[in-house]
Amino acid sequence: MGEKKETMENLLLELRRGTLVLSVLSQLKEPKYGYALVQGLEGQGVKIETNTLYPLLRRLEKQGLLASDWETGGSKPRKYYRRTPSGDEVYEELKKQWQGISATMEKLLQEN
Amino acid sequence: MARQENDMAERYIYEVTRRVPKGQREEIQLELRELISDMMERDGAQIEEVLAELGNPKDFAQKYNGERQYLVGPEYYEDYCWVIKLFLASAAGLNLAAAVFQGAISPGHLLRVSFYLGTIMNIMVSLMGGFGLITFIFAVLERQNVKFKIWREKEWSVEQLKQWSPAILPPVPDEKARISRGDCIVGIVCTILFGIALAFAPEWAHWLEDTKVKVVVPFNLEIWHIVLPLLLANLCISLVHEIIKLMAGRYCTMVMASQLMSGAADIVFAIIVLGVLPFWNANFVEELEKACKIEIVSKGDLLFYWDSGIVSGVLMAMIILVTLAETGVTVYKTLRYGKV
Repeated sequence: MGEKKETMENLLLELRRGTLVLSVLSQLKEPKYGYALVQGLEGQGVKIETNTLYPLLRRLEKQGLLASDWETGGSKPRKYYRRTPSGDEVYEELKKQWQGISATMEKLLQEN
Repeated sequence: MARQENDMAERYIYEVTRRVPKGQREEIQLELRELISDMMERDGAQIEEVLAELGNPKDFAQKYNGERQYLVGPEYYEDYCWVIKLFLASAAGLNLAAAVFQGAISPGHLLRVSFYLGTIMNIMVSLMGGFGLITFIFAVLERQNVKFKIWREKEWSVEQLKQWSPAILPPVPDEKARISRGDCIVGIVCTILFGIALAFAPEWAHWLEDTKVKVVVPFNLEIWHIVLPLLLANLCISLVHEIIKLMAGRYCTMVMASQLMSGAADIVFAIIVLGVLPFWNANFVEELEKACKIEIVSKGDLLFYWDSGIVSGVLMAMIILVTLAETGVTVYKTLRYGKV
């Protein structure tokens, strides 16, 4: 029984993992800091684990899609992320691809 | 945050960041402090809850390091495997050969248990050491992400698709065309051992004589210094042929060619050594009689018929026949089953 649940969870994880990068990129046209991003996404119904997001942001930055700045003005230092021009390009392309995939999936799932 | 909470937070941050690369440590510490502080600002937040939500620091660190970490990753694994196999086989083989060599030079060793134990120890140590060294090297390559491939394969490109057609698929080797690897390896080992035994025959003889065992050899020892290199050369050619068979794995043009050459060499050597050179010890029977203190007179004794001419002739005929048979089989199998 536990196996079935584990399988289900793994498959669900895979499904969500595929959309993670796109959802994160979609929120970063304006600079945001980590936790605000978490809360923002959650507010819009995207469940993301905090310990997944932060490493992801680092990775996207390493790939050149995001840029980061430390703001030391406020009460505590904050790291702000935003999309780079390269990130903008990638985001637009991913968005287009997603819309295509989404339409196809709709059809597939309806025909069942 | 209260002092105690701060302390707990710092402990958590330490557990995470001690597992990340040094260069990123400080920045990740700052990130985590910012994060935990933000999470604590929620209504009714407790430090234990917050940290529990963040989860096992080990897992957290693993996400920072990249989900999958390999000692030797998928990119290198294939090369790593065959380097290891090649090395292990060579190391074991070399150690064994060295032990045989040693046993051949001073056969006294063969009687001592310590010799065998020592050999086993040597083999194990060199295997483990080599395995460790190779693994270490590949681990370094993995981390440095050195881009290379041991076996230079041509970069796959779409061009290959355009030229591809079912006609150029390599043929499936016929079961009957297969050459057993085990046979080849046995052949190689036997050839090497035989060669070593031959090479150190004089030493063996001397050792035997030292132990008061009378040695009477049917061969003419005076020309041994001519015969031996010829025999060893022939063995080398055989060895090469066996290795070719091992590498090919099946009957094919190369194996057939190698067989023809090796067979020719066998026949030529047989004719030279047995037919041309005074191979046999002319005084064999007499020496034997003296040593054993017997007389071989009657027709009932086999050795009465010892005549070097006849013996040579018989041996030569046998060698030529066997070689021709072997060559015939190889040619037949190659032409019939081995698709070129």
